[in-house]
Amino acid sequence: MSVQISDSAVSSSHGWTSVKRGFADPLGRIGFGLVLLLLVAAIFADVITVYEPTKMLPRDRFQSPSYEHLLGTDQLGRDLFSRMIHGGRVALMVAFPAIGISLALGIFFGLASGYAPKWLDNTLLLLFDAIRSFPTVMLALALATIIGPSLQTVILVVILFSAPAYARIIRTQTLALRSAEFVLASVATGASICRVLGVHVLPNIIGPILILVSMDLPVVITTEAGMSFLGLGVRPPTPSWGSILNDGYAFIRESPWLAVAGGLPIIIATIGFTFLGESLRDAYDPKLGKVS
Amino acid sequence: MAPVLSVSNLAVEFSTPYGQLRALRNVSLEVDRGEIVGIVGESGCGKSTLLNAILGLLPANGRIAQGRIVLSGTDLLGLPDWALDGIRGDRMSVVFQDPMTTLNPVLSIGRQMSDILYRLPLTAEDKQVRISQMLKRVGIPDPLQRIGQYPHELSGGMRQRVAIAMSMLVEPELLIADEPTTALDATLEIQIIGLLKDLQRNTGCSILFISHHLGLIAELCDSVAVMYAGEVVEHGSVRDIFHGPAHPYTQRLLECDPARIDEPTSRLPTIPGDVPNLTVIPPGCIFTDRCPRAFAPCPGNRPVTTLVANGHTAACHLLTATPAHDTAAFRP
Amino acid sequence: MTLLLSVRDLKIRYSVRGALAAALTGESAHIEAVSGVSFDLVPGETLALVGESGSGKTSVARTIAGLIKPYSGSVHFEGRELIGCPPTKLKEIRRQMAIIFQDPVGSLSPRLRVSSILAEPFRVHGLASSAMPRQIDRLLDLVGLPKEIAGRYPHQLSGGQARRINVARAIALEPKLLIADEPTAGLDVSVQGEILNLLNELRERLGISMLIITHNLHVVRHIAGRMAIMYLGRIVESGPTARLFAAPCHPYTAALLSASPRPDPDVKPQRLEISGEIPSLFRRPSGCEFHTRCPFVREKCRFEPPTLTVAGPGIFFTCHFPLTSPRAASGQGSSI
Repeated sequence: MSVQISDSAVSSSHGWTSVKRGFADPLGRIGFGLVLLLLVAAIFADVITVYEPTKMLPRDRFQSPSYEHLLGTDQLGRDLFSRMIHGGRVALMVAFPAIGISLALGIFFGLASGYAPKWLDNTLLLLFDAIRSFPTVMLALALATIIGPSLQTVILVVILFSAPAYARIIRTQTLALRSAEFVLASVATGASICRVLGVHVLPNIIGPILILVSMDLPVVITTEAGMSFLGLGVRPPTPSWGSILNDGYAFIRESPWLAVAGGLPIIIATIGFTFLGESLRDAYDPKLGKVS
Repeated sequence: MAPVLSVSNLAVEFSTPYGQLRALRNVSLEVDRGEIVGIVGESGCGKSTLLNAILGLLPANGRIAQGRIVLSGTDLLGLPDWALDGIRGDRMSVVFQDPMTTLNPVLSIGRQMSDILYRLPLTAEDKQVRISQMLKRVGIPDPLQRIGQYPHELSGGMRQRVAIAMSMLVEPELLIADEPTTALDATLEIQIIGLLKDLQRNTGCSILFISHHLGLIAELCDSVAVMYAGEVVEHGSVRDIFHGPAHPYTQRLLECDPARIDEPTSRLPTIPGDVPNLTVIPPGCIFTDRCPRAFAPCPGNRPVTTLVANGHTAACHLLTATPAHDTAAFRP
Repeated sequence: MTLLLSVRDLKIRYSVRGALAAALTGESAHIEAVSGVSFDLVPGETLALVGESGSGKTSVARTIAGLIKPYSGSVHFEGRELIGCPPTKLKEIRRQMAIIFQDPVGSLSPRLRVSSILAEPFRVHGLASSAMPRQIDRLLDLVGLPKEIAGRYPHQLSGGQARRINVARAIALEPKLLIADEPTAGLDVSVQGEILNLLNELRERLGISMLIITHNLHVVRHIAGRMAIMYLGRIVESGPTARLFAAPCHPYTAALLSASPRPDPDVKPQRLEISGEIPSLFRRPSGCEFHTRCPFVREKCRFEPPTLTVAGPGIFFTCHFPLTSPRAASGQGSSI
């Protein structure tokens, strides 16, 4: 159905419009609010919290929430609210660099694979699929054994799994665009490969990829939590949502508040990033877009 | 005799972020029994909106603001969706522009065609016979072999023939053909036009043929409606329209067609300007901005549809104004 | 006169299945979309390559523009061989040659403003300067568009405007050759004339030679001095446009000419109707490849491929039984 809108009525570029349309969606606004909450809490963790997250008060073990300890204390008498907020900092410190590096690698190899001659494409594809065919937990276990459990290990594991996935998606999109007439037009002008890929291909595929990334962030956060839960991630006493949850699991009879302090932020992060990502995706896809 | 299709005073609006887009305004059209009616117009003239309105397939943001659509006595606009489903693909059917997207790529031709006959209490064998007869009728050689083939195994022209066969299988009263030859080469185009002509002659169905190709309209149709920016500006028999166009838009459109210009020239006629923005409808004639013969009443007053000759109408101030503006002066 | 463009025995193959699959099924691993095409273009001339879908005309255009590597053959531009040319030299030659693609809007990068799209040729060849905005204004003016359009995105343009932007980008570096693939495709009748007028005007003002790729004969008549008809990847007839319109030698040319109905209900077309469709490139017919559809087919046509009958410079056809005698063809042809 073609309904032509006159030129003057259409204003800014598609990308910015879709962001605005994303925020017009109530779920998108909730998502944006939750993500903002996480970011503010992580950045201003030291200002928000009164107690050191690692400071033990052996006399105040397993306390219920009170004015002094907003979420109570754990088995070592550490303030759970403080550990939760600082745990968020750790979660984002894993999630952002891990996803960022994965995206950069994914873009590089994906563009290369999609635009390269067939033999190189096939080689890269084989590599992507070989890495992705390992079971996550096994690879994480192996890596943690070799280089020891740490934040860096978690980031490495996430990169190993996300980068080939992004690369594959970007490859498919590049493949679809390499024979588009506007790409051919640029090649025919004599443009270099870098210019063709950077100016004409990448801007047209990056939007959906960024949305995917925002929906992947909670997955990474739960991966970090999961690995910490298994003892493969962040080392104690550094606070991490996964390790708090792990403690909560062990001491569920003594106090339920550990499980709350570990679980609640994971739920908030998951809901926040997923809502934001989904509403951005709906807004970006003109076929799904509702006309208000 | 009552017409097969009668559209009267139809208005269709779309809600868009930029306001109400009045895509069709006061459109009236009749298709008589056994008649082939052409709708011609350029992009943005509303011909596909009209088609979707007739089929009851307007998108969610579109609504019929006014008017009636009657298919041999049945008011289509008053019908609930389930009743409309019973009419589409039974009493009226459509052939679309691109046969590759009309046909389901994962089902064989025969399977798709027998699915259409689900309403009929026929045995599988009877359906098979009927399908192969229809395929033969649309000029497909060895229909029995073709039944098992998939759309990708057929050439473009064959696919469009299959699509036509599918729409004719239900023996509709009205066949709507939406640019059925645009995706085809010129030598196939005329084959399909010939096929539509034959089918009409043999089955007596009516055809509503939508196209931007003036040559095909002239060859196939009995009467023509010329649309511009959501209005029918002129309507008449194919001879009236092509030999004595009364509306300046029709006149200019015919002048522009390179097929009419035999002498090589490097200065071809054009219609300067753009189709107006339909969210703000000007008070006067919609063609005023681009009309070379616009005069005093045009910008402020809406022209009324005037009878030019028997069965030939046009909406233009030149027809009702002073005789100084002689419409007969135009010779194509 | 020196030739601007000279294409010799160009063959373009596309692989359609792997070598192993081909060996197992016994079918060939590739199809020959273009099968020995030769033509010349002199400076200032406009040549139209005409054919239906699958005739290989777009493949020829894209090979000349350096987008497809041919299987064999040569393309000379001002005497320099383009096939196998090193990239640095090719880039230099590409400045002299521009191509316009079929889809008016789809050939403009969707995320770039018109100003960036028009600036690209300058940037690519290191010619961007502070005078860029003035250059863009000048280009927009050349193709008859207002300056304000520079700030728009492609989806905000009408088909005609988008096509003009394509033309503006193509002439940005003042090329000697402009290749236009279906310049009027996707445009309304009232806008087609505008684009043809624009191309004609540019040729007169800037002296650009043009290679027009089209299936629309009505377009050819008003823009090209010479035309070549392609069928199944070969040129079956070539000659001055006026001569081919008046007296075609090849039955396929005649069929194409009569295939387009005139917009007049009273003109009963004297139609040379050809049956069937273009054969598959996998199974090229024997003898004359047009014999499966030719209304004048005789026994000889089925087995013996016709040779090239040359009736003058750039005037030739391949048919055993031409509709017009070759002498008449050359006689009329040379006078134009």
